[in-house]
Amino acid sequence: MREETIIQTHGLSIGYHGTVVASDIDLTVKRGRIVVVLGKSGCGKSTLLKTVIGLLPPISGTVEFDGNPVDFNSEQSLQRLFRRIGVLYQNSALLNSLNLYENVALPITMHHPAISHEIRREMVTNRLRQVGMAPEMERYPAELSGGMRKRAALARAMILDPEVIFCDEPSAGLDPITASGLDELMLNLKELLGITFLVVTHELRSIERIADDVLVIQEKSIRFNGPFQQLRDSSDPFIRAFFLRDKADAKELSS
Amino acid sequence: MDSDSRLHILLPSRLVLENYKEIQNHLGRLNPEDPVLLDFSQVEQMDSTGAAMISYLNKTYPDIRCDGLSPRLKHMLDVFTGTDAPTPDSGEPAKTLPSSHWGESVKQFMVLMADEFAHVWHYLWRRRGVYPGEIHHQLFQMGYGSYWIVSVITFLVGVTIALTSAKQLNDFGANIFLADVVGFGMIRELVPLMTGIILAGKVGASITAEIASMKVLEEVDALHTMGLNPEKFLMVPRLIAIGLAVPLLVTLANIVGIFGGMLVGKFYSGISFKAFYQEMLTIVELDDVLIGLGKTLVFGWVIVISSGFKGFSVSRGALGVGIATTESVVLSISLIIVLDSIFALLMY
Ligand SMILES: Nc1ncnc2c1ncn2[C@@H]1O[C@H](COP(=O)(O)OP(=O)(O)OP(=O)(O)O)[C@@H](O)[C@H]1O
Ligand SMILES: [Mg+2]
Repeated sequence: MREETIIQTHGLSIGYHGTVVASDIDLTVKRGRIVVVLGKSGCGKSTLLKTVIGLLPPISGTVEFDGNPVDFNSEQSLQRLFRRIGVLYQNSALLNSLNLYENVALPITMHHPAISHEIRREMVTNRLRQVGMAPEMERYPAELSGGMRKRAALARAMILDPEVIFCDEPSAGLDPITASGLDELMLNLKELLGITFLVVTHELRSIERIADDVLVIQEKSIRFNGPFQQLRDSSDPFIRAFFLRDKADAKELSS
Repeated sequence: MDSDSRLHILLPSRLVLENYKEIQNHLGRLNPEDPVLLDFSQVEQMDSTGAAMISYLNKTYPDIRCDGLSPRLKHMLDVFTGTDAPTPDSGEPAKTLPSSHWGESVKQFMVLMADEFAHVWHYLWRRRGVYPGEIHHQLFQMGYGSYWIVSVITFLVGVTIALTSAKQLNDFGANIFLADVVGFGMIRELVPLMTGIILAGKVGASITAEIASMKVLEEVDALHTMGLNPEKFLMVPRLIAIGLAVPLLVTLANIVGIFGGMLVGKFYSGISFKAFYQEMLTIVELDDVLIGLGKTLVFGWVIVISSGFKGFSVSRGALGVGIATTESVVLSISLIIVLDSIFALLMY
C-alpha cells in the first residue's frame, strides 16, 4: 500500500476561546494506518480530535485533509471534509429520539434518500451485526448500556465507508471481550477497506493490538509522533511511565 | 520523650465510617499541645473515613506517634492518604464561557433568525435536510401537547375579563357592550398573549432543554460531522410545526375564551348567547381575527427561534441545560410582551 499522507497539520495551536490547550502540533496521519493518540487526561486529546474533524477552529496553524487545507469558516469546505470522515464520539452521541436502526441509517436517510428501503435495511443490519448490535436495533439509546451505545455509534460512524474514522475512547467502559472485539473490527476495516483510524485510547492492550503509529501529547505539545515499534523502544521517562506503568518514573514525573 | 509520658490512645478495632461519632468524641478531646501516642494494636478494620481521621490528626498535632501499625494498615494508610495522583496537564483553566457581550448575543440571535428563514425557505423548495416525519411528530407534540392547557387558561381568562367589565357596564346600564369588550379583547389581545405565554412555557422550554442537552451530549456535533446542518435539521421542523399548530390553537382559544365571556354575559348580565354573538359581530371583523392570528404566529416563531438560540448557546454541561431552559422562557415571554406593545403602538 502507498504511504500516502491523509491528514497533516502544520504548527497547529488548539484550545477554546483563545486559551491554548496545546500548541506546535505537526501531526501526520498516513492513509490506511491506525494512529493512536495518547496522553494524560485533560491534555487535549479530544480537543485535537475536534479540531482535526473541523468542529473547533484552531487558534493558529492549519489542518490539511488529503492535501487540501480545511477552511474552518467555509461550511462548504467543512462539508467536503465531513463527507469523507466518520466520528465515534466520547459520549456516543446517538440521537435519543431515534432507535438504533434509525440512528445508524441516518446518514443514508438524509444524504441518500434514493437508496431503497430494502438496501438501506441490509446496509444497516450488516453494520449492526459487525458490532454485535443487530438484535437490539429496535431499541432506543436510552434503553442501552454505555458499551452498547458505543458499538452502535461505531456502526453509524462507518455506515458510509468513510476514508478516516475518528474514535474518542472507543473502548472506555467496555468489558475486555467487547473491547477486543472492537479492536478486531477496526483491524478488519483497515485491512479490508483501507480505512484510516485516529483513535484516542488509554487501553494498553488495545494499543498493542491495533496501533501502527502513535502520537503522544504532553505538556501542551507533542512528545512523540511515529511508529509504535519505535515508541516501545524509547527511553523517554514519560513514555516509559505511560507504557510500562513504571512507578518510579511516574513519581519522578509528577514531582 | 519516651512513650510512657505520652497520652496513650487506644484506637478501637473498627476504624470505620459507622463508628465515626464515637471515634471523633474520643479524639476530639485531645489537646494539640500534648504529645500523643496512637495505639493501633487493636485496629482490625479501616476504611477511608478512618484513614482520613488519622491523616487529619497527623497534620494538626505536631507531636504524635503511631504504634502497633501492622504492615497492612500502614499500606492502607499510604493508599488512602498517600501519594497524589498526577493532575491533568492543563496549566491555566480554559475559559468555559465565551465572553458574551450584549451586542454579540443580539448579533448571533439575528444571524440565527436570518439563517432559519433561509433554511425554511430552502426546505420548502427542495425538501432536503429534515428527518422524514419529523414535522408531523413536532406538530403532534405541540398541538396535542398544548390544546388542553390553552383551552383551560383562555376559558378562565374569558370569564375573568368578562366579570371585571360586566360590573362596570351593568352600572351604566350598558350590559350588552360586554360582548364587544370580550370579543375584541380576547381575539385581538388576550388570546394571542395567553397562547404565546403558554407556548413559551411548554414548547419553548422543551425545545431549549432538548437542543441544549443534545449539544452537551455531542449530538449536535455528531449531526454536523454527519454532514447535516444542525440548525436546519432541528429547527425547521419546529418552525413549520408551530406555524401549523398556532392557527389551530388560536381558533380553539378564541372559541373557548369567548364562550367563557358568554357564560358570564348570560348569568351575570342577562345577555342571551344569540344577542351576545350578534352584538360581537358588529364590532369584531375578520381582520381582527387575522390580526390576532398573525400576532400569535409571530410570537410562535419568536419562541422557537429564541428557544433554539438559547439551546444552541448552552455551556457548562448538564447544569447549563437547566440554566438555558429558564433563560429561554424568560427571554421568550419578554420578547412576546415587548412585541405585543409594539404591535399595539402601531395599530391603535
Ligand atoms: N468546551 C470547553 N470549553 C473550555 N475548555 C474546555 C472545553 N472542553 C475541554 N476544555 C479544556 O481543554 C483541556 C483539554 O480537554 P480535552 O477534553 O481535550 O482533554 P482529553 O485529553 O480528551 O481528556 P480525557 O482523556 O479526560 O478525555 C482541559 O483542560 C479542559 O478543561
Ligand atoms: Mg477526551
